[in-house]
Amino acid sequence: MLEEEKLIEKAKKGDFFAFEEIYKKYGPRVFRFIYWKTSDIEITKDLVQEVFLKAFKKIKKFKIKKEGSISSWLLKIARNTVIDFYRTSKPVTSLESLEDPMIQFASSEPSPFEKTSQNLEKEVLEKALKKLPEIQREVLVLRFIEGLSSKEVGKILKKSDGAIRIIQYRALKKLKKILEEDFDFY
Amino acid sequence: MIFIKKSMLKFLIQKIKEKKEAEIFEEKLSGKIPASEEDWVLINLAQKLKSLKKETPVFLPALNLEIEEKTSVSFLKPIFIFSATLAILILFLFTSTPKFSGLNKKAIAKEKEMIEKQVSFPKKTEKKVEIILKNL
Repeated sequence: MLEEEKLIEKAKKGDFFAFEEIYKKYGPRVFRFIYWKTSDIEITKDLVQEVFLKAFKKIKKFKIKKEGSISSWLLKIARNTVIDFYRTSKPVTSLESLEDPMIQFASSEPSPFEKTSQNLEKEVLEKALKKLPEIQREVLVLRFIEGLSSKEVGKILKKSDGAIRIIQYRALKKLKKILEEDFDFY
Repeated sequence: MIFIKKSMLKFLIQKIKEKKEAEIFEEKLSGKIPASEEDWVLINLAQKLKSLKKETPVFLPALNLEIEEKTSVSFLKPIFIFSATLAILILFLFTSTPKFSGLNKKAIAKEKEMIEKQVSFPKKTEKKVEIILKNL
């Protein structure tokens, strides 16, 4: 039995430390995936908590043959959690920020990504990526940033790997077009 | 024979073409097939995306499994309100409809008896009325 499978079996029996190991191993991947969807660190932190709480409650029903891997299973929960979050939460906009656009500009702090990034190219790429349709961005994040196979991505997004390849190809072409037209990149 | 509209056929051909292109691109991406200059721009873009992994911030909170799920509360609330309203409605229906309420049965029987008393005549008067009606 593989090390990971042993860990899953222990977690299934309610071993908190085994589950914590899973959290340490896959938490960053879940965090990045949610962050690319929300672009807000605090919301991402809360949603990561929610994802692992749900996972802890459901882990007894987890079957590796059905889900493929624990990573795909966690990302699937993460995706549904983000969808639920946006379905139930209402957009909050203060009246002050509506009156004066400069206040809005001053109050919106740059994200840590923007702070740490010294490279303009990466900042532009991040902005262009956010302009893509949701499904295309999801595929690019999972395929290239997280390095998953098209089969694994298909399991998370409930699509065939052929469909994922088409979306990926379309997304890259669209990203190139956005970079050309909106950012004068190429 | 199956008839397909021209526009539908065009759409299908485009889909098949795109699928084939995507499959070929996948092979170019993995280095199995040499890529053209145009494809290199896309491959380069994919490589740049890979580098974003290091740049994405990760602030993993401490694992806390004792927090109550917010969603479960918001999910149960409308169900509770709906079932309570439904129960009140059913209760109202049963008490207000005479067919269902046992309390009103006696009152209905009494009322029926009263109506029958008012409408019925003695047999002799009934016959007299019949004769008068025939003579008319």
